Amino acid sequence: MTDRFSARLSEYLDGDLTERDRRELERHLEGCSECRDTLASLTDLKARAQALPRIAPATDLWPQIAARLPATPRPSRASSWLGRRLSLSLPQMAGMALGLMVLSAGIAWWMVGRAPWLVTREPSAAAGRPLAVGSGPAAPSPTESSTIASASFVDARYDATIAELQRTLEQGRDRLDPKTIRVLEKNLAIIDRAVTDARRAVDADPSSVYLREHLASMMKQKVDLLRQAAVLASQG
Amino acid sequence: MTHAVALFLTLLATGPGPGVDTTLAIKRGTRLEVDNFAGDIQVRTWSKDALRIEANHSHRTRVEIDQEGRLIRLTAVGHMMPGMVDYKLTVPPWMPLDLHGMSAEISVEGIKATVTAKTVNGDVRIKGGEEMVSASSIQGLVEISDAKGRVEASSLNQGVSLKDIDGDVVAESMNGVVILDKVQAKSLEASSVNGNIVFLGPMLKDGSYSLSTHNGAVVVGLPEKPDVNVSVATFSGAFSSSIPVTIERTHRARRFSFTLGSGSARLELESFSGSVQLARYVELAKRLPSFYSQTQHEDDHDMDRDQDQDDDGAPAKDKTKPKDKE
Amino acid sequence: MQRDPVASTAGEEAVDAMLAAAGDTRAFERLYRLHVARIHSLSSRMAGAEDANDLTQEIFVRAWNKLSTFRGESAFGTWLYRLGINLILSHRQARSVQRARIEPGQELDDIATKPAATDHHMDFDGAIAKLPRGARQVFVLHDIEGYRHEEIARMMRITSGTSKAQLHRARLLLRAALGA
Repeated sequence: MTDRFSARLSEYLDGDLTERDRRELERHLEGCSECRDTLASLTDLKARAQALPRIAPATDLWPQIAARLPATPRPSRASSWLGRRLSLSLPQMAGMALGLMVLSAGIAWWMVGRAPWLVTREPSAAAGRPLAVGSGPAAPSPTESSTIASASFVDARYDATIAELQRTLEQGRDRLDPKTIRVLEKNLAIIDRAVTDARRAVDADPSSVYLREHLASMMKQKVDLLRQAAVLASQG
Repeated sequence: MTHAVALFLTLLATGPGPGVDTTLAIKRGTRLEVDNFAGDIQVRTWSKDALRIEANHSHRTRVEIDQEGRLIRLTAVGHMMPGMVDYKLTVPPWMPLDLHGMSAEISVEGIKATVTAKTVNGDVRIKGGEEMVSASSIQGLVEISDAKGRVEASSLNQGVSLKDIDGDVVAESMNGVVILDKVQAKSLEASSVNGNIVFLGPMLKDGSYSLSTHNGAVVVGLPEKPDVNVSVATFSGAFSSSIPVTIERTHRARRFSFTLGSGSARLELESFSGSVQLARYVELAKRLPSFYSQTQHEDDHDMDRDQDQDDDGAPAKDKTKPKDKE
Repeated sequence: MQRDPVASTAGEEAVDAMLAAAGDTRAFERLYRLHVARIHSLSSRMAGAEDANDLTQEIFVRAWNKLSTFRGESAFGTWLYRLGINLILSHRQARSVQRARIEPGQELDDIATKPAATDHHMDFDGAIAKLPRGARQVFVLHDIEGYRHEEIARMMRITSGTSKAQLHRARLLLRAALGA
């Protein structure tokens, strides 16, 4: 049967109907057993599709892929952003006490303990002297002479990840039950407060390695939580 | 390709009462995977090489059993809504488990193989497990005991309790307490943002133990003759010890360290705004029950209360008080 | 319930993407291992099992070459899958036995006139593979990969109305083929 109701069963199942159309279809379903059967099959089909396992390749494809990657690091466009290419390479950095890792893209990473802490290279600084700034919008105030303009790439990445996850969560919110939403929101508030506390502390004492590490850890936990929530919201 | 379905069974409730009881013979080496939207998953063991499935569900829900090679998968499929089934499964102890649910209470006992159990709304309780035990809940608590091998446990909203573990441990909570009692690990990481961490050791020679919170207290029970190098870091918290220590301030004020005995184990304690406390094991052990009452500080009543309360960044918990607001 | 193979967090993935963009092949290998199963599944289900290995490799090699354009506004995985889908959609099939360009409306007849293969043990993936191309791609992107019709329409350069119609057709054909 290809009447206007059966044709829209998929949209109904996917929640793509307007309120009015949905109600109309539901009224129709009450009296049409054929459509009900079809809807039941479509629902099961969709569930089975969603539960399909991933099909990993039978063999490891990495060696063939690796063979096709150029041997030398490619110049990254990002390095011209900051106006200068770094002269230090990874092996050279290995010996430094604080474990500073420098990438050719002009982004420097502090590896403190187990937590990667993002810094950026201040373009006008002397070669080899990276400037440590916070990761995230609450970096040291603009009155400081060391410019944080170069931190924008780093900030953008953290903020972008957070924003994307929050979007996914918002979109899928109505797929979660209210109890779960409350729990997630409550814990998001908890980690948000912790990030704020930690940021303030770093601002008050920027030289403390423990505080920087702690802030990085709180930020990572926030990203982890949002990601978990986003995964839940998209699975329903 | 592993996606071929070799055996496909559907269990339907027969008769008016909802319920299914079926037993399958299985070969050694088979794994079990259960996907349940809502309903409990309870697993116990017996000595037969067979899987017994007792399931309670409405007649509009089907339990599907798929067998793909060495894997048996149980899925609950509902009619126009996700499947809700209460499972009671009896399996041989050698059978590895992979259990998932949304609103599911998961309880496993007696397994001598790997166990993975994840739920969103519900508690996870595992007694046993070997090689690798991994459990997580978003809303509920996680309790693992008598496990051998690597243990990873996390709860977002409630506590994590690990007891009688022989193996390395990673334990996390955002809002709950983490209690580690009789955990023999070479490497241990425990963290909580809003809750306390209580660690009663033991600490092995050359072991590495890291406990870290934001808001909560870090409490450690030391043996009679401790042999550990301790490093403590805090922003606005306090440090106290019922064992005499001599502090060597080698770092700036935020972090300091000291050595007990010959310092063969390494203990890293961090609490941003809570207190760090060292005590004798025997003293701490006496106070354990009050810590355990903190693992479950959230029930339906609290969830309703929550809405009226001001969540103002819970201060460090007082461990001697029973559960209060979070 | 689709489960995410959690091997790393969004933060770690972002770190690896940056390292890979700077030429670190080990970091890229970590990203490969994290995403290969999903890319391969996507390729296999959308373009067929025979071409899946080749497509998967193509996708990762292209991702490597284009990494310098990845600005980090979205998660690396999201960017990779988009790249993969674009490549798959423009991939021309060498073999066209089961997937010849069929006129709209034709497929329904084909399946309907086949002997009712109500084989309950028929492989679900096998049934998907037998779908006509447009319907199959929409079905995979919507029901398996979870994209919305608006996104699918953009990627496949069709209208979202067509996307919805193709999805519905795919589901009906699958239902008939599986005797569900």
